[in-house]
Formats: sequence, structure tokens, C-alpha cells
Amino acid sequence: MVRRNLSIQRLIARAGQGDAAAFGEIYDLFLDKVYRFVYFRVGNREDAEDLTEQIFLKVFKNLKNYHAGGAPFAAWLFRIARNHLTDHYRRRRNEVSLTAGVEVADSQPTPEELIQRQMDQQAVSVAMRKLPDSYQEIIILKFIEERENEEISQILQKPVSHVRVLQSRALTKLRQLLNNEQL
Amino acid sequence: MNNYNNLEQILKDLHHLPAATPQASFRTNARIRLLNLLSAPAAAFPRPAMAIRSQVLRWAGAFALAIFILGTGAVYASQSSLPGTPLYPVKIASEKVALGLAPTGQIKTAVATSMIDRRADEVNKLHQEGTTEETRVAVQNYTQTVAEIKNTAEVDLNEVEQHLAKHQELISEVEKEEEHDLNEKEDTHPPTGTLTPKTTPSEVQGVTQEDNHKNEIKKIEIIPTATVTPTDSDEYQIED
Repeated sequence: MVRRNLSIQRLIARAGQGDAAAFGEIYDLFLDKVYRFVYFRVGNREDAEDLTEQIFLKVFKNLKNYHAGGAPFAAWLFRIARNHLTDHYRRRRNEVSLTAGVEVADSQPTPEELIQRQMDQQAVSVAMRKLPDSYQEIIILKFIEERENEEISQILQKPVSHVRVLQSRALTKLRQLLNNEQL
Repeated sequence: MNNYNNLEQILKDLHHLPAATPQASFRTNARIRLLNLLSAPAAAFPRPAMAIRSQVLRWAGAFALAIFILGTGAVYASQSSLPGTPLYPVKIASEKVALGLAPTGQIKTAVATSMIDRRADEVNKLHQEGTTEETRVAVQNYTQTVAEIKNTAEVDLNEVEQHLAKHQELISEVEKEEEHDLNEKEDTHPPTGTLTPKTTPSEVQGVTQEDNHKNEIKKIEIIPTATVTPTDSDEYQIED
């Protein structure tokens, strides 16, 4: 873990000096995480791809502002992603579809299980995007990305205790929404 | 009815949702686009980072060397010169050195397309000034530069075509007007090699009847217009 952090720090230093190849490695390391974070917020591939690319460009342009001694790089990167999404929603608040369909994860279940799982995942994905932004973020970071509370607190710039409270409230609210949908 | 008691597990499974993983084509294409953009000249960034990308640094160094070799003052002064002015050949020469020394790929393309933009800008300026002969030369220079760049290896021709499309309207319009002016000139010029004055004497205040009569019969001899010879690109060729 320490070795990995050191190597990331070296890549960041090189990329900060304009080394495009080093930035390419950073892109390879974090693309999936950033894309997933964006995808679950916007709910469709096209927007997720556009926004992810824009986020990485923003990351490169802001690398000189990253301080190695501060928050972990991943937390800093997610903060940029989060701010970019906030700007995106500000611009296109009315254009976002809350009922966009979601493809379903498949890990060889029985047909009945598959149908049930598809329905659950579809319902959860759609309901999730009806939650307030802060609840969506915490659900994606904590339950889908499985990040530590410490790191989430750095991304959201909130105390760990607040992160725990948010998690609990977000889950409760999501469950309520899902149950109400069934009524 | 599902009470979503397994909600945390459902959320966890969403991590593996196929749509939540970037497609291979996006992964590759976005990477190429980003890295190309990061290696491009400062124009790609309205406010570039202090850390200048290595390729740009190399290009800037080569250009600085070219400026040094050719004589700093003259090259700088020549950059805004127009066809027909003494410093114009210096401008063309400095551009050719810059193109020759530019690294391959996007930087070379950027230098090449900036040359096209400059030629088009010269056409536009001279056309607006109404200098017919110089405008004609500028159009010839534009055509010649385009042909040279198209023959330059490792220049992105798609990018070049985009720049050409941008200037197409201007060049066509100028060519059309130049042709029209030329035809008009031929029509209005008597074949005897004489030219009648455009302003009739009666339009000039304070001119007497006698002066009018004199002016009516007066013919002005044609003074051949100075011809600006087209730029010979070989003249500016820099020896290696």
C-alpha cells in the first residue's frame, strides 16, 4: 500500500511537470472509479463518458494545486469529479432523466433470480437518483465503491461522524423510496 | 413484496454492473484524445499550467534557435509584414525553419496550420486595403503554402482540411472580386492605351468653361502599374 502510494506520488509529480505519459498512467489507474462514480449520478453512458473525460482534463489542469501532504490523491480526484458534476447539474438541471434505464449486472444466476435481481437493481438505480445529491454521493462512495469513511470524509470535506450519520440517513431514505414505489 | 432488506448487497452488486464500467473503445479513445491534448501547444489551454509540456518546450526551443540564427530583430519585426514588403521573405523563412524543426505529430500540424492561417490573414488584410496586385500575390502565396504543407510528411491532413474549410469562403470571395475587378479594368480601358479621367471637369468646383474644354480633350497617358512578382518560395529556402 505504501509502495503504491509512493508510486502514485511519483506519477503525480511527473504529470505535474507536464509529462503526458505519466498522466496516462494516472488515467489508467483511476478511470474505472471515476467513471463509475459519474455513471451512477447521471445514469447513462454518453453523459458518463463525456463528463469523465472532462474531469480528467480538469484534473490535469489542476495538478499543480495538489499537495502531496494533504488529502490522498483519490480523495482530491473525487472532489474534482464531485464539483464537476455539481456544475453539470447546475447547467442541465432540467434535462436529467430520472427514469433512465440501467443495464444489469450478470453473474450466472437462475432465470428467476436474474429477473428479480434485474428488477431490484433497476429499481435501486432509479430510486437512488431521486435522492438529494449528498445522499447519492455517500451511497456511491460507501456502498458501491466501498471506500473507507476516513476517505469519504476527505472527499466530502465533512467529519467522519457526519459521514456515518449521512450513510444511515441515505440508506433509510433510499429504502423508503423503494418501498413507496411498490405501494 | 421486496422489503429491500438486502439493500446493501444490491448496492454492492451495482459495482459490477456492465454499464458502470467504461467501454474499451471509450477507454482507448479518451486516453488518446487526452494525451494528445496534453501534448498540444499552449493554445489548447486558455491558461496553461506553469509546467510546460515537454514537446512544447522542445518546439519553443527550436523556434527560439531559428530566431537566433536568423537575427532576432528582423524576424520579430517581420512577423506582421505583408507580401510586397522588404521583411516578408524573412517571415516566410522563419516559418519554414519552425516547420522543419517542429517535432512530428500534433505540434508539426499546429505549426503548419498556423502558416495557413497567416497566409489567409494576409489575403484578408490586403483585400481590405484594396491593394489589388498585392492581394493577388497573397492569394498565390496562400495556394502555394497549402500545396507545400500538403506535401509535408507527418502533418495531420484532416486538421489541415479543417483550416482550409475555414478560409474557403474568404479565398473564393477574394478570387471572385479580383476577377471581377480585372474584367472591369479591361472593359473600361480603351484599347488605345489611354485613360479618360474618372471625375468630369464640371464636378470640380471653380473650374472655368475654358478649363472644362481643355479637360474634355485632354487624355491621360496610361502609366503601367507596377507588377508585384509572385513570391518564389525557393528564395526563402533555408539550407540545412
